[in-house]
Amino acid sequence: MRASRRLVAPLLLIVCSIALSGCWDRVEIDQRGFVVGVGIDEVSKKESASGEAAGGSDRKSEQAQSASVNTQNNKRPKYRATYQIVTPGGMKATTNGQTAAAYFHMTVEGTTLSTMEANLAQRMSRAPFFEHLKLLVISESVARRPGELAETIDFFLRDNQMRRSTRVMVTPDKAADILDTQTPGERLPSAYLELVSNNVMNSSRILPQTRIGDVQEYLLKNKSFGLQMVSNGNRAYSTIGGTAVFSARSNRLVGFLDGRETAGLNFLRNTIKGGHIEFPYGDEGGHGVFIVQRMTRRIRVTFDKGGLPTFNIHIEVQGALNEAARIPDTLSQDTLTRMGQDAGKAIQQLTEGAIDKLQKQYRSDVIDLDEYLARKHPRWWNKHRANWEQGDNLFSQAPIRVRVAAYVHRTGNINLTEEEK
Amino acid sequence: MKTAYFGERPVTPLEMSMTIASMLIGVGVLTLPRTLASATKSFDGWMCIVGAGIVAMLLGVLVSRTAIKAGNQPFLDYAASLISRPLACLLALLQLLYFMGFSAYETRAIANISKQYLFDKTPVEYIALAFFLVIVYGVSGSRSGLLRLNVMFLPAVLVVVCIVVLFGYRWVEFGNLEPFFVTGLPNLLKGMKEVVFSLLGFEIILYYIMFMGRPEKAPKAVVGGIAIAVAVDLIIYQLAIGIFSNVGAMNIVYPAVELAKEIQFPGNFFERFESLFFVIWIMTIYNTAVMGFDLAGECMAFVFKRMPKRVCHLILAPIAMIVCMMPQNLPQFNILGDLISYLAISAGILVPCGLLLLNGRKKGEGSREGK
Amino acid sequence: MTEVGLISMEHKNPVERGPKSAPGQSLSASLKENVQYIKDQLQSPGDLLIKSIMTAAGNKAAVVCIEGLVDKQFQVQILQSLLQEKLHINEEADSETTMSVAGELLPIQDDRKSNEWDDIMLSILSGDTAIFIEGVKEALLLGSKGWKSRAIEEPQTESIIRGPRDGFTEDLRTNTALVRRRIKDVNLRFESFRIGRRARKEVVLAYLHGVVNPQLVVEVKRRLESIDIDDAEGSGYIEQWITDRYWSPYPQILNTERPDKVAGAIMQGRIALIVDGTPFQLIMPITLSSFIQSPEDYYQNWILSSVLRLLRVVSAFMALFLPGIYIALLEYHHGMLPSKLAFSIAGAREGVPFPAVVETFLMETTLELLREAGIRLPKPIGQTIGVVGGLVIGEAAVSAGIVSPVMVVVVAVTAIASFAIPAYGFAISIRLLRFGIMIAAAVFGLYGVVLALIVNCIHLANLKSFGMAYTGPLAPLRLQDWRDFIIRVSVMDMNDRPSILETMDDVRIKSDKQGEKSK
Repeated sequence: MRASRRLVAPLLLIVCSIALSGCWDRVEIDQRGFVVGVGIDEVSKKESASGEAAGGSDRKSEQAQSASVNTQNNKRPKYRATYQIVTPGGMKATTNGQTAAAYFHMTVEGTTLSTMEANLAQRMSRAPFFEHLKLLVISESVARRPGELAETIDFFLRDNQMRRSTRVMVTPDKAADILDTQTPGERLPSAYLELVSNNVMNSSRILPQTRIGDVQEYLLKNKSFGLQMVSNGNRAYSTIGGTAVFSARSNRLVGFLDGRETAGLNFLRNTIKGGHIEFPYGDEGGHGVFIVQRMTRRIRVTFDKGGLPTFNIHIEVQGALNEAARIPDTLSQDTLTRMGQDAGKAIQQLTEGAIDKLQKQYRSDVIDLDEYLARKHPRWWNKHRANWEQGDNLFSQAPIRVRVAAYVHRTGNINLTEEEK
Repeated sequence: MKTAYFGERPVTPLEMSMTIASMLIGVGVLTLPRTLASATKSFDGWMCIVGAGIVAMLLGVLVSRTAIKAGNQPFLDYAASLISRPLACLLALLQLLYFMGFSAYETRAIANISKQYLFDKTPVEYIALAFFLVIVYGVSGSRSGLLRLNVMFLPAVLVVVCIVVLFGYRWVEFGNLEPFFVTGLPNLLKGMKEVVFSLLGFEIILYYIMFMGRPEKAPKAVVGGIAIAVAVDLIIYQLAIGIFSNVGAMNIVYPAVELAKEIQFPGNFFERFESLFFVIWIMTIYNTAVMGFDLAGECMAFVFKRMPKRVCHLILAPIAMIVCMMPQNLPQFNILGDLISYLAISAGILVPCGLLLLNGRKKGEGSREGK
Repeated sequence: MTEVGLISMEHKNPVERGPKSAPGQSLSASLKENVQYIKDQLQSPGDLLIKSIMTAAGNKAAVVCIEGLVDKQFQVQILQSLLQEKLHINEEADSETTMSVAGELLPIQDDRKSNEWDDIMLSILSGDTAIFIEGVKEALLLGSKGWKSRAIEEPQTESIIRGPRDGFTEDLRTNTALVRRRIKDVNLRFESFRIGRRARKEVVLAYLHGVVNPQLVVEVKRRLESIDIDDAEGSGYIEQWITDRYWSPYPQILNTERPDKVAGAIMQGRIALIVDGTPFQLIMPITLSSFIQSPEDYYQNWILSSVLRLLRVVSAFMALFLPGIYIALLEYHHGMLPSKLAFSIAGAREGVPFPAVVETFLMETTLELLREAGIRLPKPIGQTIGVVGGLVIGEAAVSAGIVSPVMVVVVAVTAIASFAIPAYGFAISIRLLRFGIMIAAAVFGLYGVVLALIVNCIHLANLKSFGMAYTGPLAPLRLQDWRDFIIRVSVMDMNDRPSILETMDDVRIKSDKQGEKSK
């Protein structure tokens, strides 16, 4: 008995050590290809043709074969994805003063994003690793395809490596260009864009960050939503501002709101965290700039006889004066009240512009009024939800009245800059 | 002179509550928001949870009453004295299947989740095997050691839940919780069934009551333990619905883990919180699994009277491993879970309650005869 | 003659185990035979002093002692007394009377008679002086111990900032005196044992009667009596023999050099074992909490102490898990690092040839080597090697591209964390277990670390120290013990002794009636 016991222990150890031969998932950290940003563009016909012709002599037959396979299956590449991959060597703290490139781009064309990732693995020495994916930029042409948004982002939600907090943005330009924005201060464009998209505190024209998890929620709820829009002024910077409006009817991009309309939208949705509103003052052409610090929003719904809801949105904004031109005596109560009224009017114009465009042109409820109805008036909502944006288009017909009350609490360090005339 | 007995101090009711809570907080919590969100609308699942909690508490009180009646004997011996030994062996076999299945179920769940979130290529079998080896090591020690393990791990679990709550609240949109009271009754009942299934496990009081110093406090302990588990369920459910909304939670396979993924500490210090969450959760699932396996060993030792405990464990472990590996995908895994839950209700709850009634009747007869 | 009844500790026959050197043999009446017997037994070593004298009363006597073990002053006094006229004995008094008179009148406090050779030899070898008188079948044993021993100095392994700086020495009497000075309760009991067949070392069991649980005392005594070994050198042998599970890396008996720790433990209701020949004394039973407590905690402000204890717990975790987590995060779970950190680590590891696992093992082993070497180096060089080893070698390794800088940081932090643990025995076991966790992390990543943690906890949960659960006030849960577990409440609130010790008298302060408190 003793002898067998003595044999058992080392035997078990040997058997267990077989497990050590596995370590299937052990990958060195510098063997990972960190993908931090993905840009999805459309494949233009010109480019695909030139791609096929550019193959080398010994590859021609292969390409011809693959091309023939493709045409056989009638599968033309749908997406052209640009992957931004980090070169770790360029990311480490530079003691020598050299600035190596911190990233490089890989472009893959294909029909499904998952197989495109596999294609990527055919070209990269390091296996692509998506757990640090920060940003997904979709170009307008891809976003406009009817009913395909869910298809496009499915891979980014389902794959094990993905996180729900990856940002999604839409761009009217080419996504590959956006990802190539090289600001002198930032090493990774994806990180740069992510940081800019956080600047909701400083600008009213940026929509709050849109995460891919939120997009999934909107698609599941069959709701219209808006995504941040990013456009490329030049190669040195990109601008985030404006909204890409997605309609619930077709789950595709229907249009853009510019900066001012986005500001109005933010006010309506109670998502303002800051921002500067210019307002005219008085008759001599004076104007001031109002910094928004806090806002509250109250929605009231009244139903008329026809069952059509009328929305009364009351917005209260608190803020401070940041810049003034030809405004007399910013310290007096009258001036403050008047400034508040003027600022309120300016904000109201912004909101009305947004409502106008959303109701008349896009007929998509991005203002979250449908959510409000679903929560507060569920019975009415359940009866009429099919007609909200489709059918009778109740959203486009429902009158929305906005009243804005703005209060200027502080006027800064000084009163007047020049002598009052 | 007080004669204190040194060493094995009996388990206090507080510790028994912690044991029961630890047994109940397992894999169920991780998937509960999804199953509830599928059955109910918006936030009404809270009613299911509360209702199921009350039902579980009632059942728990009944079962612990049975356990108290057993007195100082182990439960199965007491059952053998009430109904004959062959029937008690049958009961023991049923409970053996239940506990072993429970243990295998939890192990498989952990292996699935680990494969999804921690590993990529490692075979599920190896993950489960490693887990099982640690389970076998756990049961080869003392049984009161297992109870101590519960007391050690539960505070960590509760702390992690608190952290999730504290740091997750800024992502909650309270609008997602409205409207209230929109689900119909049949759906509520369906939801309640799911929650009750995840709250099963308090039958362990039948076997662990031996360790208690004051067994008459067992019902209170069971109620306390179930209350803790219900509270944790409720919190996680509320956060999941608040952050993902009902439809969102319905479409996420493991909402609780995704919840942990959402947490961001201020300043991005610890970006990936789900690793810590997961580590702690593995610990509490281990507790559940090891207690199940230990009781399976107990049942088997009762049926085969002369077999020493070690041999029982060694026979049970491969069988449990096979059961663990049987489900090939998620729907089959859910079927296994349902099977075990039905086994639990029949063997773990109905039969002991039956024994309680039987005991009452016997006592009644006895007193009548005595007169 | 009046009975001079002095009760000294030596008078009680120590409990002995093992064969006696000369079982049952007793003295003969002949002085020559006795002296010859001693010479034969010891083979006339150079330090055996046998002085044949003629007492004032006219008896032939021999004074036997071992040089180096006896205090010369005592010798002179003994000889003087024997030879002087002060012994007013009748000239015709027989040897017996002489012996008894001598015993009573010799100015030595510690005296007894014995007629068993085993006892006498032991006494002589312990430093007593034996006086043989012709015709008497008894020997008079006088306590005359006096040898050079180390002065009481600050314990080197456990230094604190505020508190007493005396430490135990190798001399048993000094040590027991240090304990006695701190506890002047009449209930303090010292029981002597002799351990070791050949070494016959004396060991003193100290406890507070009426406070300590009697079953504990019985158990400890039983274990001490079971020791059957040639020589129990130092307290380590005894500790390993009587400990519950000798294969566990966690010590179940605490050893300390500080008398205030021992006194505190006795007051709590624990048992202390004071061992001759070593400054490290044993305290049992203990729980995990003993390893994060330092006596300094009690001398400082309670808020400060609580925070420091918390820090020690954190450092224990770090010392145990940091390299393992480093391996797990860098080999398996790259998504779990913050993005910037992941990129910079990946960048830093570009040129490093070894995978993180190999690197970690290499560096940890090197650090252990440095530590071992540092202990043996002479003092002035030892300090510099520590600094040099750490910084220069690490720096050189980094610039050579063998290891990555992050690794050096991790290893250094781990080393510092392990030094923050007050109990050396615990720190060693953590050093050992750290490698186990590293292996687990290398095989299974974070999952392996968790499983290793669970295995560790199972082991701890099953561990018992003299019947007391090792995981102390954590499990089984004794909330009242938490007053002194990690957080230390103010002195005014520490009412009771630790309930896990199941003491007979629980109340520590503000008790109106002393003694037993019935629960």
